[in-house]
Amino acid sequence: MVGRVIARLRSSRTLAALSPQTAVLLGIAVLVRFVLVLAVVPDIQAAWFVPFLDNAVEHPSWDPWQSFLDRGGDPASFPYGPVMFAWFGVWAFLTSWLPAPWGTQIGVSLGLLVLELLLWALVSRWNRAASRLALLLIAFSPVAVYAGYVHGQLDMLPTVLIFASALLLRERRWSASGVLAGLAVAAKFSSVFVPPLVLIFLLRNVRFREHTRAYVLGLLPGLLLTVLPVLFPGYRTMVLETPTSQTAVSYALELGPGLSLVVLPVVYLALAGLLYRFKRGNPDIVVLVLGVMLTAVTLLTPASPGWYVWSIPFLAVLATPLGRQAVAAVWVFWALATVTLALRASPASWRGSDGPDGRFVEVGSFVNRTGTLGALLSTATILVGVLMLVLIYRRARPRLDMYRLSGSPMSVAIAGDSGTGKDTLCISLANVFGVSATSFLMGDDYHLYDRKAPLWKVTTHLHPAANDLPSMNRDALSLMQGQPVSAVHYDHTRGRFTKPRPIRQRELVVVNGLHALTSEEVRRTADLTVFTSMDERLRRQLKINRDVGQRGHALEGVVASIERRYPHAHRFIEPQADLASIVFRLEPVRPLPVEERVDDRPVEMTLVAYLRGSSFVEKLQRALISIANCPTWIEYLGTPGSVRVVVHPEHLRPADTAAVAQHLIERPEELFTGTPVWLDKSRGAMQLITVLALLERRKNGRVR
Amino acid sequence: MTATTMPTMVVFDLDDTLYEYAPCDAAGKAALFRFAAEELGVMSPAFEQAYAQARVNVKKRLGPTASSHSRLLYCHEAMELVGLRSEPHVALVMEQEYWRNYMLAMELRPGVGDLLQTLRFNDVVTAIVTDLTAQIQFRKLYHLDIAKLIDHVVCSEETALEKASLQPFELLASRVAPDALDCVWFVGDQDFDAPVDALVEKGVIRDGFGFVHGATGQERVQHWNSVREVEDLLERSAGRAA
Repeated sequence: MVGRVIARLRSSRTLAALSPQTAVLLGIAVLVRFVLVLAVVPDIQAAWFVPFLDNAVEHPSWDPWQSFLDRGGDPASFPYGPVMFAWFGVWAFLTSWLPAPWGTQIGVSLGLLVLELLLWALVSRWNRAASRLALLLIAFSPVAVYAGYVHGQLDMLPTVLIFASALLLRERRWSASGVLAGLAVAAKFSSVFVPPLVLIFLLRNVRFREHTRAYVLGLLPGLLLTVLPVLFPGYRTMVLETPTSQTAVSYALELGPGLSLVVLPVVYLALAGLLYRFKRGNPDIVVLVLGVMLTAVTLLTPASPGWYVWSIPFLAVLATPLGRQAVAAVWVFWALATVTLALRASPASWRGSDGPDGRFVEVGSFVNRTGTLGALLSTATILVGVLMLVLIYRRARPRLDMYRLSGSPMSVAIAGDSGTGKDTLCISLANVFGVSATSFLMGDDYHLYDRKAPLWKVTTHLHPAANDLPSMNRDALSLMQGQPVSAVHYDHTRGRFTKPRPIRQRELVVVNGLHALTSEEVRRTADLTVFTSMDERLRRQLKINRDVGQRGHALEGVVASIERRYPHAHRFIEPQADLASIVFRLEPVRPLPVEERVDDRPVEMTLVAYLRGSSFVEKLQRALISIANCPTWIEYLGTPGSVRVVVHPEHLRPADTAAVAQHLIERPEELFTGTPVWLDKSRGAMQLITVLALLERRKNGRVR
Repeated sequence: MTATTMPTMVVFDLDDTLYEYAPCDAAGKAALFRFAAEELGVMSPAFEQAYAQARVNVKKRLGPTASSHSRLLYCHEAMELVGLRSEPHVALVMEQEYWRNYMLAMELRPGVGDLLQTLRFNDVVTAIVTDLTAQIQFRKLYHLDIAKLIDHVVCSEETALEKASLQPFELLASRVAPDALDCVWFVGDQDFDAPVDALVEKGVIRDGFGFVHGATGQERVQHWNSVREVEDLLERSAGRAA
């Protein structure tokens, strides 16, 4: 067992990546804690936790709380749930055979130390790139050392459980996240603050809503462990009637006689409301709000030192990517909080000394014990804490919502003649972002007449007058601004319109139609505008293959139909190419035969993309060549910022496309709920160019 | 001791010198073995053994040549060994599977970019002499985005034999201006990446100094751990030259 642990540690990428200096610093931090474990006995443990655990070890019972009360124990001694009792009970049992002054107390302290090391492991897993600084920040957090090893609070257990739950939430392991959040509640009831925030996030975000059930089911074991012991009278007395529950309403603004505004619930509801606003958030946003909420509790209540432990891992992982200023702000906040707490909370005694007397009182004794100095320090702690939270929130929010999905959905407008690959591109985008995360607005649904209408004898679908473009543009704008719309649907198999159907706003809105770029307002509102085109001989060949080869129409009729559309295509469709940010053109590598007939042999294609104002193309070229082994060439055009990218994607496999995407897309966790489906050949190359252009524009905060 | 003299050219090895080889190879092999299991139905222990044996066979047959490192040949041989005969398309796909994942794991060693920039700033010629086929080595250089800071690249595919034969170094010497050969520094991971004594003795270079990871019997070659050590020495040399 020990050998396996050592082998695991040796193979740990995080440990291997630590520099010798970092390893030494972490070693010192562990040593300091270990010395404190050996040398110091926190008064609160000696007076409260140890007698309770001693009693539990000596007199095992289903209701250890009542057993303790029956023997004259202090009801305030162990206001925690069964999970807390189980963890520290095991450690107490393991060391209970040791003689005084060691006994169960050393077990409690060792249990804390193990939990903290576990927390370090979780923090290092959070963000491997920033794990060194985050680890050092929590290792040298004065409040972690003080609250755990000097003051002796046990809050490290719910902290580890809540942080691990957040980590699992981030990894999309919904049930497991729920299980740990539930166990946190069963460890300390105050953890009940957390699940509602996660539930608001899950219910509010369409793409995550389906996982609510898994999270709630995960919560159940912990909630049962919390609720079932209510049958025990001792549990009700010691856990549910704990005076610490009153601290949540201790800070209030007096608004008039008999009327006061309790601060913490107001702030909690405000944060819940903030989370509710994120229609397209991601789990990192929940972590940010949780970090702010857990810190706010310490600022807005006469919190015990244990409360400060809760926010430690959240502040560490949120602050470290934000730079030295944020890290310094967190550390200064912790240092000030530690001094403030040390002046007013119960101290520790050297091991072997007499320890606290029988009049030990903890809850309610924090305030006004240290006079003016304490008041000043408290004020400074709150002030620095508020400034730190503002700094972290303002800096972290744009990083954690890099593509500004919380503000509005992503949107792409795709225009082009029929048979040039508009629908294929739409489906390719839905493959990446998920069908359930994509709303389609199809131009065909806005044709004015169905297939059998006589008007088609004198005009084509390409003529703007044959389409209800005002309605299409109005609906496109509504969807892109996050509003649902309702539209009839053109059924291509029957050539008729269906009754209106709702189109809900989702993470990605795709407007796809012959005239999708005719409205200036739509072009301005869409994040990305795309025009698809194709070598004309290739387009004719593909159309002949489909209409003659698959649908059995006469070749002459098909060719006549193609040629009848040319005047309208030149006049109304092709000019949109000049209005698009990206123009795709598919060309055959080898010239196609002049004679027109059904020819189903695969055509090897080159993708040509004209792009304006995109700065990712050089990186894409590098990745396509080096990672995907896909020849790619960039030609810089005369118009500033315009390039022609030529890709030969014939040997591009889905795994190559995925690897290039993995290499180039930052924070994919914000974008994809499931595994994106990347395609091969020209479809894969078009996916990459469209998605990268879209994300670049979102990231750069394109102003609408 | 020429380490105190400003170099006229610095010749780098590529693999395991400018980036760490082991994680890349591990990532490539893991992907390859996964592919063999999922697509060919040849489970990992069997294919791993076949691949290892294929590597031994290819190296033994080809000797010290660039193609003796070819993953395409290893995959091709491995498929023969597991009884799948020749499947050129599958071998090509497997080779790309290996290199794609290898590239994704590649990261320049800390300080490489700075060192190359310093050399460029000081008008020191930079070169890479590397044992492997040119196509993949060029892909690596392009991926690492350092090609713009390298003046000359010689791959052992361009010569009959590999670096241990000195042929690639001789090819490099024939491509550079004669004064670039006055004081040449070599940075690599193995002894044969810095054959200073042999090259001086053959008259290919006039003087030189080497840095390698392992132990070396050459007087003019020292051990290095980090790129920063080379840059420190370079800056000291530049200071003296100034």
